[in-house]
Amino acid sequence: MQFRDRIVATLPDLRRFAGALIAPGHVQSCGLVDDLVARAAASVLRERHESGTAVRLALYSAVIRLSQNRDSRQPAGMATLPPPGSFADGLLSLQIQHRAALLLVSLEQFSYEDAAVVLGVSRTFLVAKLSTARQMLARRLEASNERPATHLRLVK
Amino acid sequence: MNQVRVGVSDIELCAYLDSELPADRRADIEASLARHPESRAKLDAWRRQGHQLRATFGRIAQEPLPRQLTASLVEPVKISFVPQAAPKSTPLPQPTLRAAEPALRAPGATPRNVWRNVGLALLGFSAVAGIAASGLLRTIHSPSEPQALLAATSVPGFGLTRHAAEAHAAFAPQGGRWLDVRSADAAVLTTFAVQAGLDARLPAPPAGLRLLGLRMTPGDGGLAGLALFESDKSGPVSLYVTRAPRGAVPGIVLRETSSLTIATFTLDGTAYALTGAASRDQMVDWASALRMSLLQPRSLRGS
Repeated sequence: MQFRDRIVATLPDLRRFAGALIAPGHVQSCGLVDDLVARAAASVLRERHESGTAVRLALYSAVIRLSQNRDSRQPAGMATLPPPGSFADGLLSLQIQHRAALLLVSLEQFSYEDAAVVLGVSRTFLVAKLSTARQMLARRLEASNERPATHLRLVK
Repeated sequence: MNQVRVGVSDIELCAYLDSELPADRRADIEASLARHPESRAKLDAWRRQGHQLRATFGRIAQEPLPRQLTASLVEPVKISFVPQAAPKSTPLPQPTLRAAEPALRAPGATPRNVWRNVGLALLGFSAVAGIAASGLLRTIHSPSEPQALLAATSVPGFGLTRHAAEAHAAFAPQGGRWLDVRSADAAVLTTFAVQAGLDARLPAPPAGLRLLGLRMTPGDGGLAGLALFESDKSGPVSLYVTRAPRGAVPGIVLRETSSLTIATFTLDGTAYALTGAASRDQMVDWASALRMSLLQPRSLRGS
């Protein structure tokens, strides 16, 4: 398989990851996510990783690196903010490193070893981040379930 | 004391959930989970998180890839780094003040050629000095100075890269002073550019760049546009837009002068040259984003 084909083969999964990482309010991919994915792919294309596995890890790594340039707890650009108390809102409340660790392992099914490589941290550090992310998300979702629902209505 | 921590640590619970524990340790954890319902509840909550993540975002991976995303990769993207670059055979322009500035030298230019350039530059400088002595210097220092310099150097075959570098050096440091249209809206600038006779689209600014406006300048193939951006970290950045020359190389081509990086690409018969003092990687990222923006349908770009 050509180098470029290996990148293209990873793009569907990469868009899913990038969407959950920077625009969790969207259940479909948006232009901002595609922009991020394209920049990550172009970046990896320049670096020319040779092994197939390395290409996949490098693509995810590039998406995280490029995402960190923006405020980690703000959705990308014009991305829709998720409803308060929703699962996506809980996800967005996590710091980007925690969010990325959780998504790599729980959504993308990466092994701890590969996820640690993508994030550029040790395995121990990865598991610590993953554990923190899961606890914080669970706490956040629990709190939103306990909070009485607020119904907004338009008052003329 | 929290019983959960006494029973199974969060770290071990994570590793158990993600099947990252050896078999003997898994058996220990399972025995411990039977004794600690709190740990079991936490494990179930974390498991539900995983299910919810996959249910919420899983469908994104099933969507067909957008054409512009695959197009940006399937098309060959050639990136060449040519330090101090300019075509060897490029004819020198009429000597001007600008020729005395740090030159865009041909790859592998010999010292002899460099000295020839310097000599011609000095000759040009002498000519300008002579004009100044005869009382005409005021025209050189008038607000139309950059335009005059560009007009003097706009000879056919001068090269997109060199034109872009010249236009950047002339207009970018002045910020919005020389702009024909001040607008942060690429659609507005495109309308103006088309009305002015430049049949080209202008891309939406990528992240990290703010669009200031547009300046029209003379170019090789007639009219050229210079969109000016500002960035927080890398100073002014400009996008030179003109009709694409014949035989343009597909993909992004990168060139550098001693202080500027120029990323050029061609799309739909129009050549674009992004010039700035940012790093090579940053310039290619911006050029890729601009190119992506042009590949997107007009409705997505708001134009």
